[in-house]
Amino acid sequence: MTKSLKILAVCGMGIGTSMLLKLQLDKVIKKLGIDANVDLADISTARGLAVNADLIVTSNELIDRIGDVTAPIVAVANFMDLNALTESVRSALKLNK
Amino acid sequence: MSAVIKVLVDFLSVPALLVGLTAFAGYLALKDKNFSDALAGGIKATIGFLILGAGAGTLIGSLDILGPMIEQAFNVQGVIPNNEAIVAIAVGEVGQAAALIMVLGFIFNILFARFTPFKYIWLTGHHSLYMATLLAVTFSVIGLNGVVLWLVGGIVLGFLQVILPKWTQHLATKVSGNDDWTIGHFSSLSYVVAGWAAKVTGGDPEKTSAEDMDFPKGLGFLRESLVATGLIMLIIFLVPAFFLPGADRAALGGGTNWFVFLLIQALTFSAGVAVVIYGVRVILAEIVPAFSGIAEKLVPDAKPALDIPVVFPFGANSVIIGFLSSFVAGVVMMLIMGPIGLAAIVPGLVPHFFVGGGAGVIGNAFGGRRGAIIGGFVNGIIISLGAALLLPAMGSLGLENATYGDADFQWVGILISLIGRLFGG
Repeated sequence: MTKSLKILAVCGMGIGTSMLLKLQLDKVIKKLGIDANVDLADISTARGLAVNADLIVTSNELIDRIGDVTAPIVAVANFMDLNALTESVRSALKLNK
Repeated sequence: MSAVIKVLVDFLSVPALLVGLTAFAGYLALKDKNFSDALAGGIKATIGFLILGAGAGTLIGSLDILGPMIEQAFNVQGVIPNNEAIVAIAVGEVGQAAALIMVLGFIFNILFARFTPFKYIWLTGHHSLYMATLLAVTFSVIGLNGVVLWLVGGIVLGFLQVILPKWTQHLATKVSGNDDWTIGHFSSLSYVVAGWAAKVTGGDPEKTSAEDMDFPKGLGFLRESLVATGLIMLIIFLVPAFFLPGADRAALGGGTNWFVFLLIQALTFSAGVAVVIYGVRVILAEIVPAFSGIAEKLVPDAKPALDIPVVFPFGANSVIIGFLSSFVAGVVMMLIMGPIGLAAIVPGLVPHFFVGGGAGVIGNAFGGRRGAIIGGFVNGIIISLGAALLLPAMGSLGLENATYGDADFQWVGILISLIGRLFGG
């Protein structure tokens, strides 16, 4: 792997729920054995930051607010379901099992 | 030798450096982080804390124009309940104690989770910081200082971080259908009362769920707190301006047109909040993962207590209903409270949206759409009254035109003040 992937965890203010997402995503990254960093963002700034991101993870109801971005978006309904999140990230990043 | 000690004491009495040192130590305590990661983490956390101060300056500039304007127009103290604003202003005075209480609070949280039946780990870091700041302010007002202040504050914070999640567990279980996690948000009083009121006075949650309704999605922009705060602040700046004598209004901006001047002031407030939130984010990104990692090793069977938006996916319509209802209650309370001699609490958008929204979801789970309306409404009443009653508990900081927006900050601060009066006289 040459460069580490950039993942953006997005929520309303970028300090609460996105932090939970980051904690979960850090576990997912370890599980998948990939080289990636997770940054936090609020929805107002996410669109701009998304340009440099390889993956965006946010909660279900915020997807519409992020708008058109090139990076794939993963929507999370149940924040504690680590297996579902791992599978969503795996398929969004097109990783092999 | 004394010169070395002086440097050490000076170093540790700067809150920003203290927070940085904590982040540094937290990183080193985790096995998979190396020294350079730890150093970078410590420096980032320090910078984050310094950013809070920069945001505070911006916010104070804007509030110093709003406060006198409301005073002159309506002859009441107008107060904005905005956690970020009051915390940023307060850390300028009690930063060292706040930083130490936050760190000790994490430690005591882990200890309580390990050794008591309250097995919860609080992961809503920004609320830990805000509560630590409130405890630092209110305990110093009633006369605690130094090591006693830090220890008492840390124990109380750690205790609140396990007992309040226990208190809200039944709500999270009802909303989500499982009890793997609970709510960790210092608005527990609002949520518990909302759930209870919805159960008693609401409808059938199965047959009248708010989620079965078609509901406009146009209010989604409210989730963008930057935009929403700017808009609401513009209204808050404009209303008192209309009640000023014409000559005073025209003079507001000096050489600039008064409307343009107020527009910029309103958006500047939002800019200040954005700066503070950025600072909080930088601090937390370094501290929360370390805390969470250590907690998972020491208390593997504890449940996480999570920020309120985790319940939002269980009731998208209820969030909007709860917000609107809470905001209406806030406006009604503002109009009532001035005349009865309390400060006029201008409805702050962030607590009404996030807490009113959460109370709406909880209300819907217990009492359908009527429950969602009632849940939001009781939150609006609680946080307006609480904000006004908290002001005297904060000493000279109560004279600032900002205060805490969430119920638990308010009742904890009021309770500490009452205890102080009971024993101090």
